Amino acid sequence: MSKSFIITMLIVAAMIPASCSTAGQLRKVNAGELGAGVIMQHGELARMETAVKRDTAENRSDVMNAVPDENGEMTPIDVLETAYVFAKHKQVSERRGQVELDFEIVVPGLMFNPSWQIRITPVLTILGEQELLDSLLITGEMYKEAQLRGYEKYERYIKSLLPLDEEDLFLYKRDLRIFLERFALSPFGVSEEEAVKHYTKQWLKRLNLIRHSRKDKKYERFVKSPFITGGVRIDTIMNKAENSITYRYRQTVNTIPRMKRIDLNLRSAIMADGERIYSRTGDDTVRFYISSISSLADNREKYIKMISKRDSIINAEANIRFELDKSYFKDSIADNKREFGRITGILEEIFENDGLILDSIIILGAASPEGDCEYNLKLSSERAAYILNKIRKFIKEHRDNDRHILFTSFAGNSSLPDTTDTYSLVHTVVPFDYDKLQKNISACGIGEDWDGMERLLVSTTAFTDMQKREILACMSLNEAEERERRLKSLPYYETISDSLFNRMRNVKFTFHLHKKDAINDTITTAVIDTTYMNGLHYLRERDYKKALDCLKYYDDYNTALTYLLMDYNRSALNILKKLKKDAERDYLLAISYSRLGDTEKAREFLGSAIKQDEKFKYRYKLDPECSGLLE
Amino acid sequence: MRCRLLIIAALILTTAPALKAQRVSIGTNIADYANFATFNLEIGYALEQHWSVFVKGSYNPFTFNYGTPKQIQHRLFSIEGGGRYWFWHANSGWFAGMKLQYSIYNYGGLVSRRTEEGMGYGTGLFAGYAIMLTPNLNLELGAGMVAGIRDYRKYKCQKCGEIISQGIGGYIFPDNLIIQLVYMF
Repeated sequence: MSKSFIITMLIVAAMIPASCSTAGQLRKVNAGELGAGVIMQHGELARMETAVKRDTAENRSDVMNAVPDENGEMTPIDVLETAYVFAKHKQVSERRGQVELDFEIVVPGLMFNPSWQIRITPVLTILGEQELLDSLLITGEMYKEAQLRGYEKYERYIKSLLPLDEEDLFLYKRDLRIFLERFALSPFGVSEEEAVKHYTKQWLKRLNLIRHSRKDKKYERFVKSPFITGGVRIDTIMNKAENSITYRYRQTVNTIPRMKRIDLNLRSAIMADGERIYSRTGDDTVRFYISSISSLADNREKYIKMISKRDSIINAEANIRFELDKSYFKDSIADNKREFGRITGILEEIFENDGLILDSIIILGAASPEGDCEYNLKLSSERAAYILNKIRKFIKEHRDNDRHILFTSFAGNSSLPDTTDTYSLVHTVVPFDYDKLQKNISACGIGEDWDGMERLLVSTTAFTDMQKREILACMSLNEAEERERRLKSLPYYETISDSLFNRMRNVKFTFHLHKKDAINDTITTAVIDTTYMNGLHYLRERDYKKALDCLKYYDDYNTALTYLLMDYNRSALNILKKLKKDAERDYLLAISYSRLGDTEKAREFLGSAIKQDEKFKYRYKLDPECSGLLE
Repeated sequence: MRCRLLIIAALILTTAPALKAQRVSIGTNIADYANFATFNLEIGYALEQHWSVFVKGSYNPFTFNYGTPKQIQHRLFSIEGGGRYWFWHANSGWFAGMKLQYSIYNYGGLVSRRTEEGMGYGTGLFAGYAIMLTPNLNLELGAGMVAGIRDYRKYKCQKCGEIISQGIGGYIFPDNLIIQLVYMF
């Protein structure tokens, strides 16, 4: 072919793309370095023409790059548009753990040919990993027809196959029927199975099997270019177009930890007759930068807070032995002196410990089951009252002895042990209020203490299991008098009286205390709170789920931020409302109100945030919740 | 001769039920009737799945255009017996067989006026396929060859006694085309 002929042909081809031969058109597309020409536009950014490499003339003596001008001189041409991406905003905001990419794919008219299929696939690169988005397919009519024809052929083939499992189809049915009828008695011992086997068209079976096994090969042969069912955004039929076609592509991408940027390229391919005749991934990249409010995280270190209990209870039991029927006791009997001394010892200990404050004392007197039940109740009350008086007296004495000590400790609170560090509140010292305590001592009798007896019985070793069961049986009776009578009838009543009844005539004390200064229970320590800091780390890495797992119990600024990032706007709002006012908090409040639809409040808090911190003046434009709030 | 065949036939018919189903068969080769209306009857008995035996008699007493120059005859009496091997099952499907044959013949006017009569002792091979038409009726299709020795006399014409040659010779020819209807009892 002469050079001039080629050139003429190409000029014609360039003018009337529809008449262009496939090869010629493809070469033309190739020559233009088809790929993702990238266009960035913010507002009114000028559209960039497709990237063209000027140095092609050196590498390639392709006449495609030149046309003769009116003087007959060869002039290089290089304006060959190919598919490219066009994105209005390169800054995308992360919301609900997602970002929405919004871009346009422009496919120039030159790429359309009736016998081609154009496949354009946006490729995202996130943290070095590629992800293919759904493709755009633009199919020429002839290409589509060829596809359909292929499918028809294949369908015919499939229809010609016999089912594998229907044995009936492979039988010489008439022959078999006659045979079975004729030799019903099977005179020569030929079974029905054998007959069936003989009258089966084995050849047909084999042939059918082979044909079945060839299905895939036939599919490949007939359906050269199968329909793409998955991963396709649109599939349109287009033969030729004068102008380019623009498709607006929207894609939501879930953000993953450490994701700051998304790169977008276009992969374009041209298929003809089922073959990929051209394929390329564009060099030019559209970069989407993800802006996220997670950058507003409070990065300060957090220390562990300890919670100590304010209240405590001391239970004590004194085995004070009263004489039978007496409501007072003598120190000389049994261990009475020691037992009562134990109680006063506890009291003294409490009084001497400045950190503890005695709120109340409860005294419970009990009696043994001997005698009348009501009388016993009265007796136990009297005994409790007697003890109460003794305790009151003891406290009074102690107060009189102790008054001066109390005042010194009141005057100089430095003598108090400082259990907390500098973060705790200033302690206030309260003098021990004896009068209040005197009012808060109560005593009562509980009468015959059968429950106490049962507990004693279980733990004692004075009885055999058999005896214990007998005693329990007696005790399970309804009438208290009856119980007593039955117990008395037991041969070992004396042992019961000695080991159980004696111990039932006792007095129980319960001291209710609280820690002095324990108004604020929370103490901040100097140990860094690793859980919290882990949560903060996850938050910064944009792994919100894990962050929330760590932070959800803290209910502070970062927790609120995490809730916001996960779109739990009300939870965030509830926390933020309780926090101290500052610029960051107000900004987050603005975002959450905006999301919840309260534009007024959102605007108010945004204004407040900007007033407190200049940086939000620039920041708010990045967040779509806020960007529309201020004019 | 004919009497004897009838007797045998009657005998078989009466004893058939006792002989258990489908062992005994009676058949006649339609193709033989085309051979100047040669009557023939074959009686077979299936021994087991693959083997059966048979005897067959053929008889052609006819002389056509008797006494005219166009006289034509293929008079024949032959009796043959043999066995069949059934590749699948007796009385159905493919078979091959072997037979021994004794025949007395006289034919003439077929190709030329030359006439031959004599006796043949032969053995034949044949094969075919039995199509099951109904549970009791088969149509057998097949072909066979026969080879043997004949004791012959050749005459110049159909009617004259002029002997051209006589002697003992061999023969081999495709002897029968089988288009046989077989009835099984």
